[in-house]
Amino acid sequence: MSTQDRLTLLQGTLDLLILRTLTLGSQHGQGIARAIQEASGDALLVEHGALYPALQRLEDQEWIAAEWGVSGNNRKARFYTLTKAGRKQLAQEASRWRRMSAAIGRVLGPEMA
Amino acid sequence: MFSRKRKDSDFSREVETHIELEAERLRESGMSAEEALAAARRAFGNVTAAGERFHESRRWLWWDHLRQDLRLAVRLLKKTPGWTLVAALTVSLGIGAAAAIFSIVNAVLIRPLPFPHAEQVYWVTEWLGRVKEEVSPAGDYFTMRENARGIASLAAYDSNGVTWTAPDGPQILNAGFVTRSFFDVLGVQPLAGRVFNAEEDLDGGPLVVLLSYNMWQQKFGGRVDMVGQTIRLNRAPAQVIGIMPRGFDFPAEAQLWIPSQLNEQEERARKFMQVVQILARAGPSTGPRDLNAELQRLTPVVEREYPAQYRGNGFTDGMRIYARPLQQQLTGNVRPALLVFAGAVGLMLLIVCFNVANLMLARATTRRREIAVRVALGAPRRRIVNQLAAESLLVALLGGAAGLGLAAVAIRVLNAASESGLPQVSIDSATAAFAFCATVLCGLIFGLVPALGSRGFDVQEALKKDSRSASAGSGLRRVRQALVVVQLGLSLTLLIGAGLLTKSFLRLRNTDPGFRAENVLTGRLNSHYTTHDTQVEFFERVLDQVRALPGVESAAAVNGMAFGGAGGTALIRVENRPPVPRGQQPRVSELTVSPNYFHVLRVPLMEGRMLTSRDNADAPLAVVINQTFARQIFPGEDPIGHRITLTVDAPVWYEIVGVVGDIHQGGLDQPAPPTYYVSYLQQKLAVFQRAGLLLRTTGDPRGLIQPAQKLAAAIDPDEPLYDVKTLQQRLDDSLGSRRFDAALLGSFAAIAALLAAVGVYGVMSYLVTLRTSEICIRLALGARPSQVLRAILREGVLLAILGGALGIAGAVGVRRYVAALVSGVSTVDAATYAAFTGALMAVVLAACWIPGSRAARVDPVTALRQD
Repeated sequence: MSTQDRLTLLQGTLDLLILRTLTLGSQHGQGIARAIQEASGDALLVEHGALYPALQRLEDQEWIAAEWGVSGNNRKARFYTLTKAGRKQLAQEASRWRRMSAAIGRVLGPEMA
Repeated sequence: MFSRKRKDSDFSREVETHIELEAERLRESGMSAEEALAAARRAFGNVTAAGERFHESRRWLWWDHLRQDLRLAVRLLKKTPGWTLVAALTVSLGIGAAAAIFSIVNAVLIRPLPFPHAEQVYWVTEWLGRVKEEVSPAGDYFTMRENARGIASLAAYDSNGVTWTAPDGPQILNAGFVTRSFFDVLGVQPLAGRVFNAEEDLDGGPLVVLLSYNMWQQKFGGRVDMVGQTIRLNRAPAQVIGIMPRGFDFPAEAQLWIPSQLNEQEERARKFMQVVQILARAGPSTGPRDLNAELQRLTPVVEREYPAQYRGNGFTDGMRIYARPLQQQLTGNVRPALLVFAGAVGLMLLIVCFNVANLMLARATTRRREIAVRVALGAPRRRIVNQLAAESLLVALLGGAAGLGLAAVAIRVLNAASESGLPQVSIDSATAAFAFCATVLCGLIFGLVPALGSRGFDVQEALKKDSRSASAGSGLRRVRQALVVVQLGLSLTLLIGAGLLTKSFLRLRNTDPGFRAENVLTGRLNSHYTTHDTQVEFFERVLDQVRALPGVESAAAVNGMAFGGAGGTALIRVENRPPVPRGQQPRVSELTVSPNYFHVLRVPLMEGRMLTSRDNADAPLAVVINQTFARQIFPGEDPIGHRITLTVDAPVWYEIVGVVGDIHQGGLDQPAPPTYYVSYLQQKLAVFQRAGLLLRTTGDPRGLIQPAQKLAAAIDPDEPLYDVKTLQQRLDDSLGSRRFDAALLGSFAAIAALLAAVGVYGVMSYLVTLRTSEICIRLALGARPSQVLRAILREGVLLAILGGALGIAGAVGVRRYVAALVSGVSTVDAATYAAFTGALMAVVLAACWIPGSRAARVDPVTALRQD
């Protein structure tokens, strides 16, 4: 049960981060993983085994679109782009996340201080 | 959806790219190529696992899962053969009944008539103010045909018996008398030969005939040189010019088609007013609305053609010409019964679903632990639901297959018993498809209910506690109780409906027909004489010879057989009464009889005297009326001595000399119409060409069938005695369709009630089992067994009351449909409602009593220790 709970949490978070990364432009899987890692100051390590199913899921939801293209160093890679629906989803999720983390912050606040 | 599906290989390619890109990046930061690749792989993690997870997110998986689920379902069902058998049998009952009824409904109401573009064929008729009936005079057909616009073709037809002098004796055949355009309207071509030409459809044209396929096969052995042969019809040679294709059966059961040979000039003068049926084929772009608009336009055109006297006497008052689809016209009378059957079978199918749902629930309960273990091992809820669905689907398919077999048997029984004018049916592809869809739907319904019940399923609780006590307060119990209430309600609705039909049938069967039916043989005989006097002489001679047969007590003739079609109807005028506006005169039935008709039938004399042979051509004209006539036309007056007339100008007066008892002439379910009887010795207005003969016998009337037929053949070798039946048989036949309806609905209701009773018993046993420990504690604390039993019965009674209320509400709700099949009984007949509600309560109590008394006898110590 508890593993499943954590997975769900991670899943949602990862989706959010992927969508956020794609606002900067289309990107392939490895690029997304790297970007998240770098943007979070290496605090977040993307588990690649989770990344691709997440991409797949987002694609199924039609929040991102994918097509085969050529990477900077001339390799064939699958590039993901944020769709309009994905942008909307990101806005919603992001605001939800911010409210939630703010709320958690408020709850945790006094005790930390 | 399928286009978005990605292949697994496509995914591997993407992963490879990822690892290569990562390795490249690492190489740039100074690692060796091998190190970089290894590090990249390490960083990616388990490639196979990622592949699997990718695979799982694809939709192919459902197929793998379905196969797994089905395999497991087969294994589990095999482990509990008893349960599987009961569930599948229950389903088969529902599907079997539904498929059988569907095959009839499909054949009658859904499947189009077997003509090309049958939806364009309409039945055209007129409403005439004077006769207050739908009739179509042939003259109007000609007027319409001449003036119609936008109607592809019009045809007139009629059906009648013709005498065929076969090599082995005369027979009466059903013939369609049709205009030449008839085959154009229906769009049918002969199998061999040709249809009539224009000359053959003229009055006085040569007599030609088309044979039906069956007639050709059965009576002529399918001989290839049949076209061109001559057969003897109505004492005249007729040439066979063609054979119609197999399955062409219109008008129903026609064996021959003969040109109608209507005389257009005479008909348009409206001299004889031959009555016909009219068919129209609307053009492909003409809808029913356009057709009716055109017929409305034609109505005044037709009306204007009537000679002045018709317009004066109210005949054409309120004339309306309109059309309805032929199929609707042909099936109109069986439609209400079929709708009731379809509804009943639907309710029964629902009960079946709920019953099996209950069985599924019972099974789910005993399997809580197994399911809990699967959930604990990581099976998502969806998989568990799918598993249950696979099982229910499998059970449904098993039952559905058996049900189709059952339907085949049921259809054979229905075909044999059908007297409602239903066609012979068989299981075709449409029925099979329907059965399959119904089966899957049932499977989904009874698979879904347990799935709903498993919502809020708590694994930990299920694993920790014993299965029985664990579910005591759960939603399953509620679901099962709700199912029982609905089942009880539905079956009560069915029972009440069937009860009303049965009551109506029994009441009608016990109706006094107005005569003594036993020991009477009846048959029909036609005379070939053309004048009234010679016809009467002929029948007098026949009756004399019949009376001389040993075993015959008396014999009579009538121009309309009791329970086999009335005579005519007439508008009458009573002498010395202020004139009634024309068209509003009382309309009564008229029967021409031999004088001893009442004696043969044992119709009681109420007042005055009977007709006798002295009421002959030389005597004053006399009639006898029935009680309804006396009551309606002479309320509070003595009718004897009054005179009535039928003719408007130069009235011919008939004196009423007696009043006799009512006869339900049209059938036991029809009220006796006001009727007057006139002796055939005096009635000279009508021909007496076709007569019904009635023979009262001293012994079994069936013993006289052969002697009477032999006698008829001796009198006239060209005219058979036909339609020979005992009067009792006609009496029974007149209620045939009601008996059929009641029996069919009754059997549905019986099955439904049985299933509901089993359902209640199952649920009550289950509920009691759940409460065993509670009961034991109560018993241990000193409760008396009777108190325990009472508590359980109380629960059952509550369910029964709810179900009863639902059932009564249902019966009241559908009474409009039942009303079409019930006569003489109110559709909210209190006695029927009370009886079946009471019976249902009793069944519920019995179903609670058995598990209840078992629980009350339980030994607390043993039971508690078991827990």
